Amino acid sequence: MLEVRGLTVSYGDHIAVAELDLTAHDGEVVCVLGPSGCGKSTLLRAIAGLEVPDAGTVVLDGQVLDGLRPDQRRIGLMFQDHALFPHRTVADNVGFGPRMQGLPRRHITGLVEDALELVDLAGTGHRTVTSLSGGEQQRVALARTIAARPRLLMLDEPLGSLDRALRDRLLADLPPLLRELGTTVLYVTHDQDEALALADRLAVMRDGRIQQVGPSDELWRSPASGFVARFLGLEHVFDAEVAGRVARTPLGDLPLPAEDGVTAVTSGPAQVVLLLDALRVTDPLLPIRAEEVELPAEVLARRFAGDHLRIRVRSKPGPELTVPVWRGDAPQIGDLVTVALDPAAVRVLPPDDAGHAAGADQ
Amino acid sequence: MTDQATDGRTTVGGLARTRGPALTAALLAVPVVFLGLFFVLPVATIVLTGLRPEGVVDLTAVWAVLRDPVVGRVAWFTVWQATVSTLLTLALGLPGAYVLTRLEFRGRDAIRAAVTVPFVLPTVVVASAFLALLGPQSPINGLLEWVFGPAAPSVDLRRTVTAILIAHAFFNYAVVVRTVGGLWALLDPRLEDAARTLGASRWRAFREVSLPLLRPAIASAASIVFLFTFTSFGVVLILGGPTRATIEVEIHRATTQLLDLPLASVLALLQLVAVVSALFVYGRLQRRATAQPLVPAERAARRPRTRGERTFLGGNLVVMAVLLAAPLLVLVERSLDTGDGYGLAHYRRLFSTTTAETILAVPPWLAIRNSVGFAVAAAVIALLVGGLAATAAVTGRGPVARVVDGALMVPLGTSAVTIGFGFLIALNRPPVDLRGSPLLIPLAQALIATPFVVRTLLPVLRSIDHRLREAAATLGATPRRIWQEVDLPIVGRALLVAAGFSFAIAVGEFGATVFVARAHFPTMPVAIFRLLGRPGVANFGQAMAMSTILMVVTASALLLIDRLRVGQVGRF
Repeated sequence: MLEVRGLTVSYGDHIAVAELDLTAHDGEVVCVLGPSGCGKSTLLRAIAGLEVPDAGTVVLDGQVLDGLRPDQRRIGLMFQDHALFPHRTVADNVGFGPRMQGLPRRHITGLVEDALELVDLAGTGHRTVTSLSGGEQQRVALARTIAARPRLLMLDEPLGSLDRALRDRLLADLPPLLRELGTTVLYVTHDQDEALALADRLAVMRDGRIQQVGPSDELWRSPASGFVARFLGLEHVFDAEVAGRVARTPLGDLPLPAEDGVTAVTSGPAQVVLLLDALRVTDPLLPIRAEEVELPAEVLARRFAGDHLRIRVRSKPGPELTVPVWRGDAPQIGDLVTVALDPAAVRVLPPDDAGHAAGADQ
Repeated sequence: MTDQATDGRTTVGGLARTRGPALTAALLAVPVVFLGLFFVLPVATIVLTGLRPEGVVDLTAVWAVLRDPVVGRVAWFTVWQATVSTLLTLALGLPGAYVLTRLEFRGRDAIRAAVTVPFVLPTVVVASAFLALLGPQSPINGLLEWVFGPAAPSVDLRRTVTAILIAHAFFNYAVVVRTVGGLWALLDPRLEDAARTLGASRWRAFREVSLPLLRPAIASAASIVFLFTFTSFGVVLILGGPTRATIEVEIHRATTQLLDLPLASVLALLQLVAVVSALFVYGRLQRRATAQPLVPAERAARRPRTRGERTFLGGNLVVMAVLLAAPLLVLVERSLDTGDGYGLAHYRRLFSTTTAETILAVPPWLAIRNSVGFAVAAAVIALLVGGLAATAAVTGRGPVARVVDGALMVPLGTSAVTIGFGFLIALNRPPVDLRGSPLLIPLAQALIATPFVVRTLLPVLRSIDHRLREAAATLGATPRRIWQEVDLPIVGRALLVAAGFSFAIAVGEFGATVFVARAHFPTMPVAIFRLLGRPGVANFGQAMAMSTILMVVTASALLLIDRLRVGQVGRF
């Protein structure tokens, strides 16, 4: 189990990681999701011992790691762009960790073969790393990290430099591989698809702090802030004013959800987020449900998204919205439609922290 | 910097494409004649004098010279001191390269620039500085006396191997910092990070990852330093004393003291063979350099974090201060030390003495005037020859370009002493009889400066993208305007850099000049050498003063270049 408590890392005046707490249980895959520059790479480097933290403590399996050198920690870190040793063969790269541990040669050979087999590269040991394709290099880097038998496996944007098709394929290969290893994994990415595909738990990071941690569906159902909602791909986030049981929003007054515990603000300034299934285009022939809010709107644009369309509309109250529709009954540009909003899929959140807003959209 | 335009065509203007061979031949006429008379002829004369001392080819005489135990000792000392100097320079320079490229600290860029200064100083200035630093009057002894009182031990390292080795390290520190640092600055730091997380200690990570990747640069730096120290002349002549002779010094001694030209010729031959072999090895090493994953330099450097790193940084800064700054400061200090306090007495004497009061054949200020005059003339010649040759190398196609490029580099590998000696024995009879003529001085200096001119101009000429001219033409520029608006601003700057470079080289040139400068036409380095060779505080003080002047002149010329430098032009 990994426990990070109050970790702070700064470069001069810039605070990259600020009093950060994070826990990863044995065998768990925790994805740290955040925009570039939010401090997630620094977090991994500090856990690995490559950065000296200003404050805080890192505990792995009950052992306090503070003050230990990187080579004393046995934490695997797979770097973005792989950082393979260009002057060594594939086998020498993969065998580097075991060799540093002083294992006998025969044992090293076995570990190298096992690791290469695991990443589906058996028999490539003699090749130079510069002769490999990008995807192969990525897998060698993973094999190299695994072969050192780390107590914790950390991956820093491992798929970041690959093209989309390759990325999707490797993304499908990774979960069973990580499960087979059984190691605790800390996986850093700025890509929500990657995070959602891999994570047992998701940690959204911003400006050196974790904004929210939890299983992915929990984050989807109740994001803790407008930032988390936006970063998960929820685009409808509005400033609002809560009074009584009503939130005053640019879309008009919305009743607060009846569900307990999902409303963070009971009065004063707030933000509202519409969850993914909050909006639909009504069928003129069918009546809408009583609790739904009706929003007349004009269609501005249509975009194909595989089996459905996403249409961009301007609602009568003002804001533009994106609504999914099935292909069969998609309205045309310029059509007037009615959009129904389900108040049960509305979340009322604290107002955006102005201090944090500056660094949000890098 | 890429040497070629993006599509591989490397021509100067439309001219070259239409009148290729004829134009190339015309451009090459002057360089070919110049090199033929002032390089091939002297070297051929050396070879003939060495191989046919009595008019017939006599290899037994050569063999006899080579078997002479004195020659053997000289050859051994030359190799030995070059090897040790190279190792010492690497030992001091590699940590310096690390500190100046991988660590971030205030004033780093200024220090990195300052570290280069010693490399471009005239050898005679450096030798003077170390005489001042390591002699009995040095601040080292002042410090010892201050600590231990009058009974303090006195350190006098003049005329010792130690002095030579330290002076060589002083000179070549910049070579290591530049050559190795240039690559180190771009090496991805995450490679070592990866090794650390895989269980390698800091030292192990360096040894297993960075060192192998730096090996081509280290080998390259080592071979350059070895070549420089192997052909070291002024430093050894002045600091080493009579018993410490390298081949270069022995050629000088055989010529000026023993008047044994065949011996000098055989030694010069030996030197030529050794230098050409070293250059060959260097070329092979260069070609083996492998592709590296490089990152922008600013990503590789970071502030020192641990106490160990800060100590390492501080230690290296102390080495730089003691090795590089102290000798030059002491040189200036000594030039101002009049025996009873500080003053400009030595400088005044340089400009006021008549021949009666100096051991020089002419008043010392004449040496300053001579130096500047000769250096300007040498720069003009070098610019003409080098400029034409570089243009020919760019306009000529394929083999022509390569031959020109290669042929012009040969004088670079030939030692200055060999050139000076060749001038002395070859240019005193027809076809070129310049016996005793002061013209020999700028000619010799120009020959030594020409390869640097070519090295400066070639990359610039090659880098002018012909699409710039095409773009200018489509925008309505006439050919003359194109030359004026596109070519001139780019090449003009490089020409100025080359001119400044040639001037700096010529003004400090010693090895060749000392052979051809007659008593009545001394240059500054020659005058300094003669002043240092005589006893007396006044002579020493004047030598220090003139060294300081020479240092300022050279440094100013190079400072000027640095302001003008475009990108990487003119770097070694």
